[in-house]
Amino acid sequence: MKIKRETKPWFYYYFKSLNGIIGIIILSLLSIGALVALFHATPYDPVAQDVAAILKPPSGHHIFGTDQFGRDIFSRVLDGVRRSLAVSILSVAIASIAGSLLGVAGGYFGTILDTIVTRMSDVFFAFPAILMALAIVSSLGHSWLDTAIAIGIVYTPIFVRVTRGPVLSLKETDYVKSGRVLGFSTPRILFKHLLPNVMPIVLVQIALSLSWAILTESGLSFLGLGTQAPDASLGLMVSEAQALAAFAWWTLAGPSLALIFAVVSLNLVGDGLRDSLDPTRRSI
Amino acid sequence: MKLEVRNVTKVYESNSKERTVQALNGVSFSVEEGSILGIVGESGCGKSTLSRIVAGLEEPTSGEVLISGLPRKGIAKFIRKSSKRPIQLVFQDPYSSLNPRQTVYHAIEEVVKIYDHELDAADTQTRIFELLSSVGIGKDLSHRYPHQFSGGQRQRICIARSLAAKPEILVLDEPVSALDVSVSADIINLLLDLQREFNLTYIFVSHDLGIVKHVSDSIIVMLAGEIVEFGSWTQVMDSPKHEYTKRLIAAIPSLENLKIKETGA
Ligand SMILES: Nc1ncnc2c1ncn2[C@@H]1O[C@H](COP(=O)(O)OP(=O)(O)OP(=O)(O)O)[C@@H](O)[C@H]1O
Ligand SMILES: [Mg+2]
Repeated sequence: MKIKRETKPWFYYYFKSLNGIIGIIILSLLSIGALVALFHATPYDPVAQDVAAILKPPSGHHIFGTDQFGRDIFSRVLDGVRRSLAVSILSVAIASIAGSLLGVAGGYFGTILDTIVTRMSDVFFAFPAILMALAIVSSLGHSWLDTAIAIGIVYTPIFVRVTRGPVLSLKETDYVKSGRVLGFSTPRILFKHLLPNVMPIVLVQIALSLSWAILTESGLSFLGLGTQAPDASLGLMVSEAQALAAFAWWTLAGPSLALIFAVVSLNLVGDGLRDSLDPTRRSI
Repeated sequence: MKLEVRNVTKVYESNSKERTVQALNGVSFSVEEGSILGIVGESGCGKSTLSRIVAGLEEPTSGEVLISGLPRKGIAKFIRKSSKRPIQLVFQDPYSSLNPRQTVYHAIEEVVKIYDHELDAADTQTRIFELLSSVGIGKDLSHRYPHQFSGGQRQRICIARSLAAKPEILVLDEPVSALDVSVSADIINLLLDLQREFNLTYIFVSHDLGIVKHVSDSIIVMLAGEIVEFGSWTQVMDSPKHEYTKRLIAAIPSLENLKIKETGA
């Protein structure tokens, strides 16, 4: 006989959460903008100057207005979003994979491995993230790849922390112990019983870290250590707009709004993920 | 399959290594195939520690566990190869002994795939439903998650999952202490039926002498990591040797006490 299986995947539940839906819509729009910039399809060249159109307010020609060099702010925002997303995605990919593997292995196997992993995380946590990133960036270089690696290294200990603690308590739970009595292999226990139970925390952390990484990248650019002029970056644009905002508000509005939308949408996605990945939080 | 525990001691060291806990001290007993051994004792006397050692979750500090006359360590290799785990453990808390992210179907399937790996997809499903129905869980419930079941149902599911490993000895560590009285009675009756049906050997742990009385052929009374009384149920009831056992017997509700005397005589 055939039995109806509960095969509804987690994203079925994700789209039941309003926050998750709003987050994913904003994030999709930003991603489309980033793709437009990636394929050089922005309305104007993001770095092309136009002396005839300096500091023009938003209009039909330049929907976000122009900056002090007559560059189209909308095109620059799209390019900035592309750079910010690229840096944050790569850095969080590095941090989450390295951090989770170290955290899960350290927590489950304990011993010397765990001691080394936790001591190193502690050292990293002793310094503010932006300072660590600054130090690493100044020894690596200023390309977007260097920035991504620096931020990735800085955020690795966060993933060690969020995975190691739960694994430490999960491995003492009765259901992991009963797996051992039932003769499950260590890889099965690690990947089928422990990892899925820390995955929601990791995914939520990924969404949050993406938004922090965007802010860190912006901070580095703001301080002149990330993206270099004339390339566009949200942080760099905010930094340049500081002096102009008093009389040309649109120079600050475009990049700030893009930053806010990116950070807020990633936080909303994090909320939606947390709710949808945990069966006990779903309504039956 | 006969189980023998010889002079088992377990010492837990705390992190500082200054304070140690002697959870078990020279524990020896044996269980005959197909019989039910009850273990009673107050909280913290080492019942769970003993259960974990018998089930192979932990190594004793000294002493040994013999299975069919062979030391557990020696046959561990053989057991691993044949993917056989003849001793299974049912945990005290049915709320934490199932993975919250696995449907009941998948939780049982995982075990069936180890111990009945030769079955094809259809037979695997049949086997899973057969196991579930043997503990009174309908197949229509099998695709639910653990949190959608009551405590009693979860304990049934845990029992079904243990049976999927085709054990000969089942260690039951206070299997009903987390459940209320009427549910407990159902679970105990189920366990007794299963014991007869599969000719299982039980080690039934409880802090309640009244429950142990219903189920066991012989009984062990533990106090602070040591066995103070070991014998058949009637032996222990008629002539308890230790002061603590006498107090336990006196604490059984008097009506129950009468019934025991009737049947014991
Ligand atoms: N992993 C451990 N580390 C340190 N001490 C432990 C550990 N497990 C048990 N103990 C100690 O060993 C003693 C016996 O514990 P155990 O859990 O076996 O008792 P119990 O008889 O099962 O009690 P209960 O009826 O409450 O379940 C207790 O003093 C306990 O604190
Ligand atoms: Mg116990």
